[in-house]
Amino acid sequence: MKSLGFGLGLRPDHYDAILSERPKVGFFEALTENYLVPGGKALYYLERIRVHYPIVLHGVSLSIGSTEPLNREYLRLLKGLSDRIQAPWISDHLCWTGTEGLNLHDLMPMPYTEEALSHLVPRIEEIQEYLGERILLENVSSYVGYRSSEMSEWEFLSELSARADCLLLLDVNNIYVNSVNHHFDSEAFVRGVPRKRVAQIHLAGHERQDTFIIDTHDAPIASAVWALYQSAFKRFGPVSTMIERDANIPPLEELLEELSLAQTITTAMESAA
Amino acid sequence: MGLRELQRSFQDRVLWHRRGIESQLNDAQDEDFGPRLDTYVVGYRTRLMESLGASYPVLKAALGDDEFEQEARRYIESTDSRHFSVRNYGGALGEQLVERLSTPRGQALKELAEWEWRLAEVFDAADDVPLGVQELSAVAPGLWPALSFSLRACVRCFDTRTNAVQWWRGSNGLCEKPAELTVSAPGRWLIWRRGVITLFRSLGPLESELLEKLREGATFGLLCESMALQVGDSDAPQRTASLLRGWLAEEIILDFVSS
Repeated sequence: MKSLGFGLGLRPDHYDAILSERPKVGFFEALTENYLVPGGKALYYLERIRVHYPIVLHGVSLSIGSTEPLNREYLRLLKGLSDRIQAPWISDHLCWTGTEGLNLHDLMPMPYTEEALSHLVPRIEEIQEYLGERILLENVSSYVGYRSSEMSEWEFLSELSARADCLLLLDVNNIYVNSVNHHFDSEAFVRGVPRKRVAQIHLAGHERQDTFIIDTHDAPIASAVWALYQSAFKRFGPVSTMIERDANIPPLEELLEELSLAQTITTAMESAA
Repeated sequence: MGLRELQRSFQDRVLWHRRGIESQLNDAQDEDFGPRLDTYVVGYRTRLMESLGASYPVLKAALGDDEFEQEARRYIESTDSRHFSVRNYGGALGEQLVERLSTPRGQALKELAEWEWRLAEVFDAADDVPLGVQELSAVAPGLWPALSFSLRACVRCFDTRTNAVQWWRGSNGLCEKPAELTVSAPGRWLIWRRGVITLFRSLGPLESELLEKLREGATFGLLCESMALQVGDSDAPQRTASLLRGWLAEEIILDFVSS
């Protein structure tokens, strides 16, 4: 998939600044659910911003891993929104968000088992067929692991993307968070993910507790995550990369400055190569 | 434990604090296992609490942070979220308030909550195109009695028996804030959107009655008859046309058909 360069999450705090200042970013990533509404201000700004930038869609409610049937209404709205803004791609998370008709509004982890793969693959295939395109699934942060897991997270991602022929959105912060929370080598994760499947990279901040890390998206990117990003860039090359900030949202200039660091890192690595 | 049972068990732990998932998770004996699991249990409540606070900013200020948090916690423990968007959570918070607080203040708090919820509905309503005056001007006068009209998707009416709307307006610097939330004379408000701007104003009894009839599909002729009962036959067509012109100018009419 063609790289769109470096982007930012599209947040209402920045709507006016984006339209008036037209920052030099390659794309914006919109949180799907914020725009699955009949009309109003959010769609008004989305339409105007997309005139100037590609906007990719990033959802939190596909619940691809849930044992509930797929939410057809959600998919219908998602397809409608994607068609409306001509989204270059659609992504969501490799997780479940609820069962028995309920929603936990959280990215609940999957066990890394054959059973989970068998459950996920036909659901991804069905969604891709309905949308008429391959989707990107993101690795999520987790705070507990299942005893039933039969493989590593990266083995699971590799197997899943191969069997379902889907793409991956690699969240480098989530890799780092999980490497601390579940005691694995983050570099092994990066090495273990197939090159051709990674179509986008996320960078974000986190919050360190005493013995584990919470993925909060409310702080600047940590130095350890920047270091891991260098490894990711080395392995996956120039794929679309963006910064996610969902709380303590700073002025647009501050995020652009942080984003320029990603550009500086990759430019330096390209020059050195 | 299979995938379905695993998810049920985890969800039971998050929603209802039921134990069971622990035996399926790694490192359950570790000191930090509780805080790790709580990231999900507490996180669920935190997200819903934040969403309720965002949906009801003036209600939250009226109750104060502590009382709002208590009410929100009660609501969260009694009401599960069933919609994919967290913004859709909390529409019945006003009902809970009036059930718990059977006082004039409780009634006013309920109306305040419902007012804020209604504003949010209008905020996200469909972007339909209002009917223009010129489109209606092209209709031959003889056809007018048989015309009926539809309202735009964003149009809502809101009935009050308290001063909740005045309180909301006062909280947003639009008028002097009442000394307390309490019952008041009944009133009706019209809420709609022009472009992306949400607007509202009070409705008098006559305009309110005619707008309701229009919403129900009454023709212009029937609207004139209703008007005539209030103002007499001679002024009724002009007064009704004047009201209609006002609604067109305010952009609340969507379309018309000749029946």
